[in-house]
Amino acid sequence: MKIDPGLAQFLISTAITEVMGIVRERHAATGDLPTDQEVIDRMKARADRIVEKADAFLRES
Amino acid sequence: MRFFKILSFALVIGLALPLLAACPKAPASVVTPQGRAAFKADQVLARIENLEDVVIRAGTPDAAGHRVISKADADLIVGFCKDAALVIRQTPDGWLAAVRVLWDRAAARIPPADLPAVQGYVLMISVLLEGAGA
Repeated sequence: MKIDPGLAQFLISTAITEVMGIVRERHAATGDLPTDQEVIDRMKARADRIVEKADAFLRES
Repeated sequence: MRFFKILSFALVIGLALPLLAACPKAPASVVTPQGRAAFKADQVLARIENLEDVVIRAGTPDAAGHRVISKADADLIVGFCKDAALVIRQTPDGWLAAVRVLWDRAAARIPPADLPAVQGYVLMISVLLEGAGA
């Protein structure tokens, strides 16, 4: 069985992201609570970042 | 060594897939429907961004000029990530059906001969969309 190193790395980083998400959720219960607008702004910023990275990659020949 | 690799892969798959499908709930400070939709959308975008990063690395030649997946396949998946991000940003409370259509179209354009090389990424996106709809 051949393992794609990039995919394995992705799965590991996904697992870490999920654990961090759970930690943030616990932390949010005790403070550092984002407002609705902050959550909306964060979502838009992340979408913009995805588009920028995609454009840079797709421009490469 | 081979057994260890297979075991490691199985463990990672077993850990990651259920976690991938289960996004954290919005914190109590997010009270409006728009805020909750944006929170969930951001969780999905975070996973799409992770996937995009990996596909870009896989589609970028290393020092020896070797790519893990072809540039054409990487372009298809990265293009999907971009289109999905645009749709989600525009309609954070109702993007799923449109993104599923985008993915179906992108996946249909992957040459059958390339599927073994990209099947892991295909699986990740399918699981992500299923999890988002749950």
